[in-house]
Amino acid sequence: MKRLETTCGYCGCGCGIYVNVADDGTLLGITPSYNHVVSQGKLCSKGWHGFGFVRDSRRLVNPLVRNEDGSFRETTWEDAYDRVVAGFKAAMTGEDNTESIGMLSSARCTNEENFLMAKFARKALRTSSIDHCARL
Amino acid sequence: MTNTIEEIGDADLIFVIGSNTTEQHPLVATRIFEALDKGAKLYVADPRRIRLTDFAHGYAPIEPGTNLAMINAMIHVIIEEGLQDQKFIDERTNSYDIMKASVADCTPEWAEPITKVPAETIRDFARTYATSDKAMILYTMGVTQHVTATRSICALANLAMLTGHVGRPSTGINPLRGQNNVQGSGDMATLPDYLPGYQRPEWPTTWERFSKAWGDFSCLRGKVMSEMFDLIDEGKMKAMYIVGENPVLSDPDQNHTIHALKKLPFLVVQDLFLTETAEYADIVLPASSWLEKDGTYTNTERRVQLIRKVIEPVGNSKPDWIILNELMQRMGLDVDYKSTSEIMDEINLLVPTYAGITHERIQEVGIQWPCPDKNHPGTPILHVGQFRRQGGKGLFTINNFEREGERTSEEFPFIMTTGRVTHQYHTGTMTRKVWTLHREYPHGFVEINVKDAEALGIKEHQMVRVTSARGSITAMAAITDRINEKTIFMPFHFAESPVNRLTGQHLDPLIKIPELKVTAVRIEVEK
Repeated sequence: MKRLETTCGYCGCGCGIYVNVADDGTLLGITPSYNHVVSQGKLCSKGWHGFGFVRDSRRLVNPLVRNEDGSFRETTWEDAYDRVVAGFKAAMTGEDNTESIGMLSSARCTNEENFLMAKFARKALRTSSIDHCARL
Repeated sequence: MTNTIEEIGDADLIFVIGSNTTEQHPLVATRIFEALDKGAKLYVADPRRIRLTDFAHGYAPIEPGTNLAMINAMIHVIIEEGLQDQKFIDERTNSYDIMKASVADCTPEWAEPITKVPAETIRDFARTYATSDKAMILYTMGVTQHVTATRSICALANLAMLTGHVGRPSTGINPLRGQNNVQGSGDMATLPDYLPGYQRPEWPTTWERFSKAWGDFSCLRGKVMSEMFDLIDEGKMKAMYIVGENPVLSDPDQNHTIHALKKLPFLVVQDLFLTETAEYADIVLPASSWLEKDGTYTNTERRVQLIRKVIEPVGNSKPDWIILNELMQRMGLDVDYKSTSEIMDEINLLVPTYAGITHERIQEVGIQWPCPDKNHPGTPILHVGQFRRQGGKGLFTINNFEREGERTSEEFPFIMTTGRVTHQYHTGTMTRKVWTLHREYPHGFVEINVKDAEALGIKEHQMVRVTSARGSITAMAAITDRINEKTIFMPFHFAESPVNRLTGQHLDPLIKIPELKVTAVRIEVEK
């Protein structure tokens, strides 16, 4: 068994947790971090139990694209990327796409990911229309 | 937060407005209880008699949408009774006299019929806040999800500066962020009006700094979320890329959102599950969860903390940063990020408040920004000695209260306010798939006052229909005396009772946050 320290991914408290993982990768449970500056060894119900969705059978495990009848089918990353890039390029109107392409990012993602999203919007898509759920 | 979570435990007074802290931030609430054990006082303003009110020394049963009137009345009382910290005002702030004049008529008697809080209660709140040495304000969406959001927060800033409750331990203005990285995603500027580090696109220094690292890029003020949906409706916006968000359930006026997403020519959604929003996508990219990747989150007290990859990505899913890196490359950008710590190096370079925060430094304990260099210990308390404004002075502002936004009517006589329950999270994409959490609250409900329920002939657990000018939904009645009369509460986690089918498009004029906390509705027994 491994015990890895990380930060709970739910609310803004940012509690310290250890995730207990079996050698075969099975998630066994959470141990609170007793020295953590915020949580001091305590957790709420989401902190204790909130990891249970990770291997839910409904997780998306491959990219999806639409069939002509409107249903989804699984595809490869390469195919999905080609379609994404083509779709964005088709929506580009010129030098700046602030009115034609929008991006919504997430307060669920890391700082590094949000930074890349800001860069992706403004540099790759050339749009300044990027927002996220802190507006709500 | 201007201060830290730990400091709550040493406060003399905690003023909680629009925050159901025990349910939404349990580990902040434990610090409130720690302070109470040491003799602190707790004052709560909320339309629901939330759990905290059982321990409160003062309680204001405030009508949703009227926070600003109450705060201005508190400021009025403090000035009228000479309880302000004149030394702090003189030495550290500007524009006091203009602000003072603006609240001259905001007597508690003026506020009472607006807020439904007795004038004497407002006086008690004002006196206790002003005369406590270490007084902290805690707030959340109960203050922000209103058309008066910006003004209410500026009024809270007035209140704190007026009494010198800022820049010292266990004081300050402390928003509790609802999601793990609301603070960080704002800091990293997935926002239309900033570049990372709250740098305005129109500042020459911003262009100078970012163009050196990024070359040419779009450096305008873009559109906020609601404006994007309007642009789609007008046929101008042709493509959208939504990462880790579920606007079909979380955004106001669901019918409008769905109409726009159906109309949008090209939609890419990146998420863990096929969310209600992903149902409208052309392409769905499978993302990895927070247990399957590395990186950092910034918590509500500005503490940048590591998350660590605990298991390999599930299936062929990929962490968002890897997807973005690979997409950037395919869009022709010359980038090749090998790790999240390499991305943080670029953040260090471009975001002055994060300049000294590296992954290496936060292996044991997170660091609070601003952290301007790699030897800096971080900043637990903001505005010590001087304010983080040009000139270093705090600025008093004028925040007049007017009746605006959604109003009740004969047709829609109830105010619906929305929120969360402790065991669920947002649109339930994750928590509704955790059986131990889901069993606690498996479906939506309508909290309604016992007197209103009696008048309408509603019985406990009966299905009721709630209707607004935008739409109609059903949920189970939960009859209680812990909510104001003529006010109902519904959680927004449940797709079967999607409260945002009812909410409207009234926005704060400055920051455009929707007024999710006030919707005029009628309620009846479902036939």
